[in-house]
Amino acid sequence: MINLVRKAQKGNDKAFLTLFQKYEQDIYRMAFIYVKNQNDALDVVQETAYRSFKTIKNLKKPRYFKTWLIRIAVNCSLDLLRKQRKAVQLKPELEENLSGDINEDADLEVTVRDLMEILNEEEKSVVILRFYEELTFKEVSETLDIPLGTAKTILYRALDKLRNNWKGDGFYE
Amino acid sequence: MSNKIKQEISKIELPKELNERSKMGVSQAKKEIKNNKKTFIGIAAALLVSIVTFTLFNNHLNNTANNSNIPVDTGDGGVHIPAIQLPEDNMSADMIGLIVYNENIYTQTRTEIDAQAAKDIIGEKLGTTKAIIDEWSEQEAYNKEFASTIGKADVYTVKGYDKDFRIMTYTEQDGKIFVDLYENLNGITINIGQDIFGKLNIYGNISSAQYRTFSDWNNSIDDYQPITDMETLNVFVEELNQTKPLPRIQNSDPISNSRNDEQFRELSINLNDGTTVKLTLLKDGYIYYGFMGAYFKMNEDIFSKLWSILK
Repeated sequence: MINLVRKAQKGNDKAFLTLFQKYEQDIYRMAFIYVKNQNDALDVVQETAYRSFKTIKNLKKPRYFKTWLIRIAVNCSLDLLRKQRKAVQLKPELEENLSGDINEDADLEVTVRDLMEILNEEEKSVVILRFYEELTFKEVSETLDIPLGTAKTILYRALDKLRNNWKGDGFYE
Repeated sequence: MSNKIKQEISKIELPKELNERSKMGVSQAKKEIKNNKKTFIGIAAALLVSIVTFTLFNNHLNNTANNSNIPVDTGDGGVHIPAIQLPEDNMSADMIGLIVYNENIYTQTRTEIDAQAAKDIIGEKLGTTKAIIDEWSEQEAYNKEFASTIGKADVYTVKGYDKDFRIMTYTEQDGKIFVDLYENLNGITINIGQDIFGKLNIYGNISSAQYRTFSDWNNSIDDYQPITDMETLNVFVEELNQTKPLPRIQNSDPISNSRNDEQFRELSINLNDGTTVKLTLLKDGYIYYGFMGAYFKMNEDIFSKLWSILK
């Protein structure tokens, strides 16, 4: 893979496309969670391909290609949402102090619709990166440029929301 | 890891044109890269001519021009923090929240305010931000009035604070109020602590204060301990104005070796106007505020008195 990245950095579009296509399905599905429809998700994929090939020469460490690409895809999704509506908040709410027995249990009952409708953008980012992309907390925090503790707080808040929704208390509905 | 979230997301159906759209994105970029190369060769040739001409006429020019982002010691005890410039490697740019106003770049700050208090100190509306800066922006995007990395938000002055130093965004969305303060902490020269801490209006306006350890800060745990010795705190806050600024340089920045419970405290000071100023204190007498290229050193005796109550 590192060889392909190096070739792509020299402008080889075939090498880049080979790399990109390994991740295009992931990118499409991630984008779909943010933008909630096929057309916009396809736009995000195209824009991600465009931005990433244009800037791959700046990627200093080829081994970080995947997280680098994911970061671009997240930004493309948020940019598209920003264009469509007023604003995407960087800090949607003050961090609450989460206590109690919240665990990182991903085996809760959840549907794609829940993820799309219940979570805000930053919660979607952390949930997707942690569970779908299976990044470590450290990688999640580096990809999204947020402190490690904040990434954990956001994830626990998101899981809590999903869990409460499944319990049917209707608070987030 | 096998988990239901992953299983669910994997169920999202893939449209057949997916592959085609990836190719379209790449070929669009390829075309532009080619065009840029042509333009670049043209510009490079023109530049070469100018450089040769410039050199011929400026044989004695002392080439000490500093175009970098690095804060510098001014030589007389001050620190100059250059205006934010995009690094050459755009991808490593930290995308902190920022707003361009009146030719200055205001960044998201370590002073917070809640929505209710914000209603009391919101000033006149200055304008509305435009979401035009991202990791791929050219430097010129930073020169546009109200350009920002924060999406669209209304920008206001803050009563009691100089608008050349601090502005705020105030947005209502889905019935919720979002407020953030932004400060101009770059493109400035700091000669003494007062140049920054004086503008925060801390001294004489404290309602309460609390602190937490590095672990709690790093894990976003709100386990704050209240400060009851207000006399020691007031002496410390007054002394902030007399602290000596130092440039943050990667190899000598003390915070890089102090991210532990022994040496690091976060001090939150609540002011009468509802703002909360958050400072990072290091055991050896160093103080940090906001995303800025300088930190401050305080008189040891005064600092250690406060440190002794932050246990």
